[in-house]
Amino acid sequence: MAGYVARRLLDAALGVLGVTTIAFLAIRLSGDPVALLVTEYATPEDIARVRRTLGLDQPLWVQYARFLADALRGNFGESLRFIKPAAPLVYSALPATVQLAAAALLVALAVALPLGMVAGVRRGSAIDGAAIVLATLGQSMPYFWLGILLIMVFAVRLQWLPAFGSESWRHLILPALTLAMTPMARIARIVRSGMVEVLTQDYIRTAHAKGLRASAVVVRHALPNLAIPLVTLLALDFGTLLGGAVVTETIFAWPGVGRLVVQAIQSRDYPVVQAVVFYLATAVVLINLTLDVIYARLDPRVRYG
Amino acid sequence: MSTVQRVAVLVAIVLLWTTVRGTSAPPAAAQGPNRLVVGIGSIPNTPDPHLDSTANALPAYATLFEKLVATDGKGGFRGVLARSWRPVDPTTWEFVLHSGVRFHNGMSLTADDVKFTIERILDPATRSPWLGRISAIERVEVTGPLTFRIVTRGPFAPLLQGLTVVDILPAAYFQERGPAGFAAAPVGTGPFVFGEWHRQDRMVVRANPGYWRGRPRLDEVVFRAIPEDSTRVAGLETGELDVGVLVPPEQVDRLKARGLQLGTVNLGQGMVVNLRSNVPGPLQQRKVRQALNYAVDKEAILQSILRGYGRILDGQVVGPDAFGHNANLKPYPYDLPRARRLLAEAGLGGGFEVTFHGTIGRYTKDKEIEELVIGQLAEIGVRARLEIVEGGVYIQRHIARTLGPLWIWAWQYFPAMDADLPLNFFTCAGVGNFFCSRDFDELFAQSRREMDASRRRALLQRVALLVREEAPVIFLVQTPGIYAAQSRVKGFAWRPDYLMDLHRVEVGPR
Repeated sequence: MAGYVARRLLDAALGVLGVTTIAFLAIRLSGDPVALLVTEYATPEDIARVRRTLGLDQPLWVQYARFLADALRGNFGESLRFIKPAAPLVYSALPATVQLAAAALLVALAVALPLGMVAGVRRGSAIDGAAIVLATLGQSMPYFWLGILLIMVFAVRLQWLPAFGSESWRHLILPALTLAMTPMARIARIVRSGMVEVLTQDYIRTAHAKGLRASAVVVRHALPNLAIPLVTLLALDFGTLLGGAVVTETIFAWPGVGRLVVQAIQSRDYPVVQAVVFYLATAVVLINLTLDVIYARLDPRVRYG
Repeated sequence: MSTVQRVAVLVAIVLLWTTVRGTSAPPAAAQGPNRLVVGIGSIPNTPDPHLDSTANALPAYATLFEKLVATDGKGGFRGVLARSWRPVDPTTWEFVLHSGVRFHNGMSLTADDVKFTIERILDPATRSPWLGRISAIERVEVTGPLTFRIVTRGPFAPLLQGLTVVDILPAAYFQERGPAGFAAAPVGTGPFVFGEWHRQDRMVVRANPGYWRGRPRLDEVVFRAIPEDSTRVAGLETGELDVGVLVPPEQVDRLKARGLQLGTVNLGQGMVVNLRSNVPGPLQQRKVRQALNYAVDKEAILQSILRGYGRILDGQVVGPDAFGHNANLKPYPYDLPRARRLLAEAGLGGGFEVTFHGTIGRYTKDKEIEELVIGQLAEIGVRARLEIVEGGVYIQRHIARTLGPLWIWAWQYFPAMDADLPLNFFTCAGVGNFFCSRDFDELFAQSRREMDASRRRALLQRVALLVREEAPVIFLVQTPGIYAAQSRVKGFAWRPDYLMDLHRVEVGPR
């Protein structure tokens, strides 16, 4: 077990290195921040001076070596836009995004688990139809469209909730709903199909034959078997959630990492983009690693070879 | 199931933890009668006014800080902290400050503060984006408590336009606190004092009771960063915002129907299609450039895309709000036969193919305007291929001269409101230059040496005439700044220089 975890940690480190290297190259190859740092009225001398100050006049491999050496010490350089160290900028924006993603995940689970279960047990019923519609819609609705729709209905028309901002729990509801829709649809779908499959198994028939109540059969015997695909899905969806947060945060003026990185990319703020990619990649990799370890607890058949 | 439960509990704990993370009192809705909540695309990147030159930062900074001079909206300059100024010789200007001006910390404004401020921006280590605007300044000489001289490297007549972006900071306070300390508790001479600043979220300023021109009527102003247009409009509809700027033209009727006051201003920003004429190709011929101008129906852009908001450019890149605007010039009329004739005279009767670089979301309705212009150019046989370039790369490629031969561009001349600013880029040696005329260069250089304001204005007007004839660009429109305010807001107006005069604004009871 310890050997397995060590090996997976090494894999994880390589994964993070790979992702940050791609980000390092992609952001540099796609644009130069200097033109955006000076006003459009700058002279070529101004531009050359700024480039020198930022070390951007060095060859790419020198910049990369410096970046790696600094990154290992948790130093991602200074944001070109905010003129502040990049890493603390990311830390300070992180709680808002974690809050949003956690709320979205909670909403998704709260709706999708019962819905998927009932739909699976009562196949062909109205609830099953509703679950299928939700799953299709939820996965095909773009975040920006859904977000604006929710604002129109719940903020503008009904005046129940604020349209933007992050000051209270009421501000959290609409963005969390927006972000929840995709994972909600995916979870409902996988719970439903898992349930349908499990219910045909012999041990379910045995459970029924023992005279257990139908609800007990579903909750005690069928549901635990859905845990593995569900945990897999949650791990994969964590990355999707962070991606969705980028759009959702922009629509709802939510001051999280998503908005930070959108603006950083637009202004080619290399240090901030690199820091965000590093931390998010690390988070995704660690969560996947943790869930892999959880597998073993869930399913004794999983072996660490 | 137990693991799923555990994950859910973990998520719930995280949620609770982040919910109780330190949040201050909600400033979202306008609660008190005298608080104004302004919705704008972004707020300053930092409370330090020397470090952010983005347009949306300007109105927020202007509540806390003041400049030596400002534009008067009619193509002239007025003193703000400077009571008077005059050129002493071609490289020296003498300024006198108002007496009795106090910073928010109680210190009096002196010439030493001006010297410190200008030197700070000129110091490359500050990394001020405004450096380029005042880099002609060699030094500042303090000649008395309220008097100083600005010495330029050579004759530099447009000095005042550079000074319209220089926010004066308190030297002693800044030196005592350092840059980080200053950004945490910034101090200026403006009508409002610093309250709060939350990155990418909001900035709050409060009335300065000791303001040297009288206390503002508002008690508090909150600038909310709302990047998405639809969300800003929704915020106006729900009443969460008192004022919202850059309302899309198609949302105007909707807001009017809800009883909001709608206003529009022609911002100091001339939208054109730049034509690269300093490389071999059809655009080297003046007749071809003129033909393109005759082929575009500016009225159609104004009416069908901008819904009547904005103003057709009259053959120059600035409007009547700018120093150097020539009121005698007329827009190129929409005249297809003439356009075809000019093309034929240039030996290009069959038209030609050309690349057109465009943007989406960089300027108001840019994509729609690009498509309309391309459709109209096709009428005279000019087949333009639209290639959209991502915003972060656009300026860079403009400077590197890899856009075009045709590309959409807005020549921004706010907040300085001086034709000198955009025209500087039409010189043969201009940054990202795309046009070269010896006559232009000579006349323009002359205007920069002319220290007498009225003679400089006359020279810039001659430059404008020459530019209209040479047609280095397709002149389109001065872009509109549409804004909306709740009916309870009194006295709000947005200005062509992108600033808001909030000193006299009032908010009535809800």
